Amino acid sequence: MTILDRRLLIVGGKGGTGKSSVAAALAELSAYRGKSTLLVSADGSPGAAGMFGVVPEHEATEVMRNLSVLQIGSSEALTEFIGLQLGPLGAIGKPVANAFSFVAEAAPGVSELLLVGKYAHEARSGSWDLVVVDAASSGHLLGELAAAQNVGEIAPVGRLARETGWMIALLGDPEITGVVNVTLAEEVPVSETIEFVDRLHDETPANLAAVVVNRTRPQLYARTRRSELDELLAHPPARMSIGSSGVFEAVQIGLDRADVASSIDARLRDALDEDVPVLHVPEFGVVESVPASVREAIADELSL
Amino acid sequence: MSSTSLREIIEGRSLLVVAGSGGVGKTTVSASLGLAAAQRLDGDVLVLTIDPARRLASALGIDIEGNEAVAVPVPGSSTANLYAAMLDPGPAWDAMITREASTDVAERILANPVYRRIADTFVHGNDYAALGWLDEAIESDRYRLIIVDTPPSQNALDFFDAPDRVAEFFGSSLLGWLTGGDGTFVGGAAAKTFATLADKLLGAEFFADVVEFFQLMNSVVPGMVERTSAVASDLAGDDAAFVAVTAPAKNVVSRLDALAESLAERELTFDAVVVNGVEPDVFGKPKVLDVATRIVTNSSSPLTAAQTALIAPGADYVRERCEVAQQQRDVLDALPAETVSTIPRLVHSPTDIDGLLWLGEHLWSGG
Repeated sequence: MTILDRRLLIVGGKGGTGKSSVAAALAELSAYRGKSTLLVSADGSPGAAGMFGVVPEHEATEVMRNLSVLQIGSSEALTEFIGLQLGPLGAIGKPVANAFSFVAEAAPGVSELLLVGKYAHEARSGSWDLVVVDAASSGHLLGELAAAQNVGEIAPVGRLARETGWMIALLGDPEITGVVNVTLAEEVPVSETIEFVDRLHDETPANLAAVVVNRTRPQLYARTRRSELDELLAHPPARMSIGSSGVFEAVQIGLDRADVASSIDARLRDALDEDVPVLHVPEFGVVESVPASVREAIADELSL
Repeated sequence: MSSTSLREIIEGRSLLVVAGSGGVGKTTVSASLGLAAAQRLDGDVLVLTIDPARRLASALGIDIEGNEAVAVPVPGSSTANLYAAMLDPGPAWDAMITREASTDVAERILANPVYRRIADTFVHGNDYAALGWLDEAIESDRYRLIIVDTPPSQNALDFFDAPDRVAEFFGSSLLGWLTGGDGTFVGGAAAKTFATLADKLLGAEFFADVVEFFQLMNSVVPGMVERTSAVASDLAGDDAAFVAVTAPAKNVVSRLDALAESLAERELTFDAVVVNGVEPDVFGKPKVLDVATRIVTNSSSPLTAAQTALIAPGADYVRERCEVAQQQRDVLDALPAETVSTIPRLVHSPTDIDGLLWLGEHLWSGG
């Protein structure tokens, strides 16, 4: 089973790791593979859904063959939920919805639950083969994914609590739902990913599908060449120019950085269960659309 | 360049607010400035972090629990008085409630099932709890300098808006409309429909808890808002300085512009900008770029053919980083602030006390 064989992929990660670009790349790849795909931005900005040349709206908009995008926020999700539950409320609908959204903000987990409920609903609607979510950053995402359980505990009766059962089942089925964490091969992001993975397991019903190490660099040197180079750097030619000795110094910095990145990468690999794939994606910058090279890199990593 | 150094800014103030978007190293900068200040200033220095990650504690080699300020041993200095505290929003809210409410009301609030989670889920809950905590730290008058490591957010100044938002949240006329004066629902079709809806969706008991919670909070909120507003004004006052931390990249610096704009609305400015992760000087030397290019293109390389072939992939990396260094210089030149300190991109980012001491020294001596 590859990560794209699920019905719902929730992509989260620390700010600045490129999680939106990765979510967009996964969705685009899925569409290219012929799957009917919905890309949802759910972190309060156009994010991934905004990378395809249209301003995403609350309704799904097709942006290319097999790919539609939408952006959701908790207030739209709430209005929609009230409409679904009670039918049209007429003139008093607006103040009632306002009042309810006020209480929903106060009531722990309710607005998170409605947000998750919206994308979970899309995933079980049968309209899509795969729903990819550009989700909130790590801390908020844990709160969202735990909301169904929390609301069930704190408000065990009522229609909202009744809605939590199917959501927990859908989020908790590893064949259906997977969480993708996007990180960088750097000390702090990897530490946060390891913490996120532990908390995902302890606090939410959802399962980790993969970790994406974004902006990785290819290894500069194979092992044998590397020892030759280390030898050269340790014993540089005598009487080098300022430029040459600068290059030697700078190359050494590059090698040291690569070594640190590899050891951090190894630490990440060790901290994760063996069956969790770790995907390495090269740098592709801030993009309008996802470059084919990146799609291919992800496809390679997924062995598709 | 710098008209006032970071050192002079810190020496002249009692509050330092460190702001910036996520992932730029705010916590690291806050901790290292705390260490540097504790070594050099008379009096106690406190670093308060609101970032829930435990990195500050682990980097400083201490264990922080609850909201207690913990003494940080500073290697090589027996006189440095550094304390660190990490906001734990739950107990911080409890402390605010206990301080403001009568014993009876406080007990009922603390026992209300809605209360326990509200501080965590209310959008400004953490910021607000931090202000409450800070109020106590300032009032205690025990610190010469307090450094506040603000939470990463879209807008770091949410922190300052927290008292207003809390006042708005609890004081809303909508709430009055909902709960009436005495806990009964006011009449009118909309209110009745609402009550029916809330019962249906959330269950009557839960809804009753929500209403009780808001009613109890009515007696507590004015005092809390008053105290935290006072702290927010302290943070915007003459004794406070703002330090922005950013990365040397256009898209990160542009988020700084947004922050600068909201500061300007309060007639405030950044006192200093710390740019973290600048390529080391070697990548900025034209001669290095020149030699790297000659090696990569294998045209008049200063090395033997074998050496040139061997080092070429590394030289290609050097060439790329030289270009990045040039872009970073352009970004640095365009920074609006007068006091700009830079932190080089280090092979090992500082994750222990030695790294932080080095960084503190670096920033203190002019960055």
